[in-house]
Amino acid sequence: MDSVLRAIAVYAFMLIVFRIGGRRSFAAMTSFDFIFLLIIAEATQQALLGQDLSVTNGLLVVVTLIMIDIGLSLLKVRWPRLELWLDGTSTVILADGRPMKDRMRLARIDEDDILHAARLHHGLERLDQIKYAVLEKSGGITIIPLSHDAR
Amino acid sequence: MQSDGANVQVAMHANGPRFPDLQLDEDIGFQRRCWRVQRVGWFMQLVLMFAALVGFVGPGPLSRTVMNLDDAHIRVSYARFGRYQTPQLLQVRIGARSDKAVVWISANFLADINIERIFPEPNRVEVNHAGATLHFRRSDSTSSMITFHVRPTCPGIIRGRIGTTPDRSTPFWQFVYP
Repeated sequence: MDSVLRAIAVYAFMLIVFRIGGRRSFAAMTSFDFIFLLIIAEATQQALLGQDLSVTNGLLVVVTLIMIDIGLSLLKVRWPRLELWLDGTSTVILADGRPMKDRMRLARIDEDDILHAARLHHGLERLDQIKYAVLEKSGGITIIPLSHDAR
Repeated sequence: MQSDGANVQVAMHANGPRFPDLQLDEDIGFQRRCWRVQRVGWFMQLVLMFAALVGFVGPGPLSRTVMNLDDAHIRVSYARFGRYQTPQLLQVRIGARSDKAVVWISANFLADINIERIFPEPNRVEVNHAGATLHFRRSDSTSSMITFHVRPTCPGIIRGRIGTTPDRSTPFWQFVYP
């Protein structure tokens, strides 16, 4: 019983903390961010396993986490509103070359982040070459460039 | 209409400007509410960190509790807030004027903890349904410190009594976080 309860508690806590942390916290990962993520994983390990280091306990924890994940994915299909609550929504942060400052400030994104995505995926040089920049649910930024004629 | 600096032909929507040539399921009203909730969440996490620092979520200044028993000949110090299966100390200082080095702990407290070590080790232990009486040898008439290394075995409120005898004991409680 302990194994399942620990797994549920840790999953729920991590879901809430990551949701509160915001999408950009882990989307634009630097080397430090990667190490930071590993440290978080290490910190949760003890909470998941407690004093029980048996194979049985480890398997129970893994099975519980996977079942929670599957269960939530099925619930999201059934109730789209739940998906909205858990995963958030995509947000346009730049339109027709003009950044939407208010949304960018709230999402903790600056123009450099958008330019980085534009260079990375499309080789664009300036903001005015972008038709739309969308902050996706994953935290990544997708770029829709202006057509060649429009540029 | 909220001004976001966008210079496009938009259709007004109850939740803000939309982008007719972009097939995107955007819900900016919901997103703005999320951003507000996020900021409240950050504040609550900050409060939690501060609470932990001052000892409200485990060992710390707020958690440290001292009880004077038996006309102040015995002083018990322990952490008011503990954590499940996490080692902690319960210290009993027996004053110089106390005639014997005896500690009685109630059975209900012993049932919820695991005593891992006692320093110094008791000379003799007597156990009955009410609790356990630990007798320690005293080499001189100075005050003595007895340290119990304990580990809570269940979360929630742990209650017990401690003293020299059941009749001369004081109740205490501890909250153990899961």
